[in-house]
Amino acid sequence: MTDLNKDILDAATLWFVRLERDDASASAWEAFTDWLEENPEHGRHYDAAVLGDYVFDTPSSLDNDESTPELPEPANDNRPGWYAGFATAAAVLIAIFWLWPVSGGPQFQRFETAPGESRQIALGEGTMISLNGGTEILVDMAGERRAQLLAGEALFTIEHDARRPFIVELDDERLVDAGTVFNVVRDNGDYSVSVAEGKVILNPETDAAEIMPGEQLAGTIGKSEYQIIPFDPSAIGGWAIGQLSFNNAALSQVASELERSFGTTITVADKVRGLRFTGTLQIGNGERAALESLAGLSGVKANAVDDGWRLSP
Amino acid sequence: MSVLLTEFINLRPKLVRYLTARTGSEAEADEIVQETWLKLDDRQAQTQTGNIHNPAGYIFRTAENCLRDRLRMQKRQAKRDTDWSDANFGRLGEPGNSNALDPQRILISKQELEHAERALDELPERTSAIFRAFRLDGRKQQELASELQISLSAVEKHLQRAYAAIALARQNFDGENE
Repeated sequence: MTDLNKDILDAATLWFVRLERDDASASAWEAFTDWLEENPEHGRHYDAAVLGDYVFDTPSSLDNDESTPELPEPANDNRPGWYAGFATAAAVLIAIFWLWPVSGGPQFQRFETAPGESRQIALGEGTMISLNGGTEILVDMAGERRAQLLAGEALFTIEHDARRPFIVELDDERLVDAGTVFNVVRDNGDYSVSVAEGKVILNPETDAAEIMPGEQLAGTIGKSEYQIIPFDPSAIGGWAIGQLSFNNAALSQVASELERSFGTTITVADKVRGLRFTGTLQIGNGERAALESLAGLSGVKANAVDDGWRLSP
Repeated sequence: MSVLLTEFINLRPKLVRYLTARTGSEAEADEIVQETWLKLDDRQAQTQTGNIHNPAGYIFRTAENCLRDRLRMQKRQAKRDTDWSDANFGRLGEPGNSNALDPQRILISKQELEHAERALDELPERTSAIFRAFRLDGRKQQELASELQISLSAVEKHLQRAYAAIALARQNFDGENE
């Protein structure tokens, strides 16, 4: 690693300090952007300040909160009051880890989203579960390596731990994973699992079906048959960043995904339920734009009705 | 639509420019902007965001925190050894155990902290005291300025010196432990 330059570091740390204030204005951030654009070294030095600052964070497992960014208002809650006087802090750090409940049974907490709502659950460090609209999931907050998907869609980004695989249960079906990114959809009894990175195994003790990156497994709970088809890994979990990508999906599936994202009701005429659609729809521009885009790309008609939309030939 | 989300839409191009300057990648900037949107939307639903005095600053701060979380994870991944015990899953370059309760990680955190503390101890008493009040006790810069009866820019200077010292300490620590 190349050495840091004192003058640039002084400028970078002054920026750091100024932007740490709640009253930092948009123009301050813009001026900072201008400074960053002057020289790549500026950004590198600022990153060094950020990394130095991290050292004083408490490990996130001690926080009850999800690891979303600190709220500048109302209170700076990443600076706990108990952290007074460093000499004892390190000892406290260790003591609290040993007191942390590691053994004992799972403690499932229920998380729900309404249709059109999305939510993220952060576990430990680096493990994140993103919930799409209309989802119900139980997550073990004690062991943090187990979840039960009751309905809806979740994108799992799992921090690797080979000794403690992450398990997603769909009633009796078990998806076992050791550090990957994968998306699970459950519509009553039908489910699908798409893997973007790593590997997921369905029912290791019986089916032992391996789902590799770029693959999607579709199955029905309680039935032993399932299908594995190719799936674009970069499209996985696209809903979480406002992009729904479809590759030869039935229109009824497309409608379901749109319902989840917008919280609206989309009726699909029988004639076009099985129509295959390939394309990407943006969520960020709103419901109407997405439906119009779908209509334009697929050739169906999208009409606004009382409680939502109707797709017809 | 809420003030916060409206402000977000107005700020979006500036956010993208800022994040591109920080990450060097417009694609990554776009991803972070999306994450920021989701976080703001989520916060919006859960808390009283009506009393945020500086929504623009809040939004930039949220984006910056997303970025820092990523930076932190990337740094951890780069330092991690390949975990050979995951032969069962056979993925090349699989990240190793990063469970926060891993004793090795606790030890490294403790050492990093000690290293930083030693660097702070070499600074003038007042500088390190102001830093600790700010960073560990959560005092605001403006409050410290009034309490100590010095200007805000004097407080800034003290903090800047402290942060420069710990940035150097962190780099030395990483250098020694590579």
